[in-house]
Amino acid sequence: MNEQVYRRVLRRETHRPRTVAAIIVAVALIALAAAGAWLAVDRAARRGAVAGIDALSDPRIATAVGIVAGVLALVLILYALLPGRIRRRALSRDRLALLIDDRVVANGVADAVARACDVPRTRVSALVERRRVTVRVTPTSGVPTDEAMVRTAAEAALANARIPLAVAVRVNEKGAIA
Amino acid sequence: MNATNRVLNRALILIAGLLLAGVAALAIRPAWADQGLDAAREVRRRMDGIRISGLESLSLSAIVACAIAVLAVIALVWFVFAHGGGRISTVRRSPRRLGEVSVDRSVAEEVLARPLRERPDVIAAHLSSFRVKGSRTIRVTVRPRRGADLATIIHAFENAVAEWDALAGEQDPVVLHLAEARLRDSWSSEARVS
Repeated sequence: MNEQVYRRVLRRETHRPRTVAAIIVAVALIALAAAGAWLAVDRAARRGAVAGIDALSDPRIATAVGIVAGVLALVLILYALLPGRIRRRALSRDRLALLIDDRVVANGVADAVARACDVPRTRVSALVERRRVTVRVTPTSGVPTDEAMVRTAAEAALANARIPLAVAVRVNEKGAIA
Repeated sequence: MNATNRVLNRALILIAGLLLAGVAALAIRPAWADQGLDAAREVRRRMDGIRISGLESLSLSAIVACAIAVLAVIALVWFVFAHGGGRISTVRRSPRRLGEVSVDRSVAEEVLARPLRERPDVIAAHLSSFRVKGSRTIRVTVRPRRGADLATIIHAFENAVAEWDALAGEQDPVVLHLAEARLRDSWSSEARVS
């Protein structure tokens, strides 16, 4: 039973709910539908609305309206259909489910590398993607940084927290002056 | 986390997108609009042959259009107010021979969130509870301090969960969320004063 609950929670917590956009769209549609109901029963208002639409019959204005509506339509359709992932890891443990923000993972890996390789933390950065973390290190000028050491430190940090991510290492050729 | 129906969110945004795409097509190709208007006029002409007693001043097409619009408004207002919900304040309810035992969220907060909140490598920890698929589910959100060892925090939480399980007598779903620090967290000091 808990597995089903965890699956649902992890799915919901790693994908955007799209609530704000849906509420904005709903409020806009309520205004349009209310205006439509009013126009349906009030003949004078309907005549006014038709006159207003006729005033927009200039082809340049119509094209501009069409382009704006088309772009907005594309944005909404893509927003509705794309997965909308949140930058967060979802992991299942023996007893509990675990969610870790990618930025937390990145900071954890960069901190571990900085400590292990004795490089200032400001010169270590980590970028977490879906299946791997890329660690970039700018060594102190004249003090070589061992790429294998960086990799080992990053892998150890991930293995300790049991986060399944591959590690890629980039050590800048040009060092920085300490 | 709440009980919002996300499929409906997506469906409404998609419908709005398709409506706007229709508007865009009609604005750029007015000939299509003319064809559509002709078809609408034909439908209206056929409907307006029928009159409803008591509403002679209104055509049938106006009544139908108004009814559809009113139904749409009602459905959309329901949609807006159906958002949220699902949070619960009782994390455990155990029936006993005489009555039942209810455990409040604050008890779980003390057992699961407080030990983490008191750690120097944690900025903040708070607990929320909600119902998922009929199960009372606990989520603890923890904001680790920069430089914290994640494995240690997870291990500390696992210990707290073991304590909670022993106390509750059953294993309810528990979720730990290690969240990034917010901007205001960067002003919090590492030193704790008791």
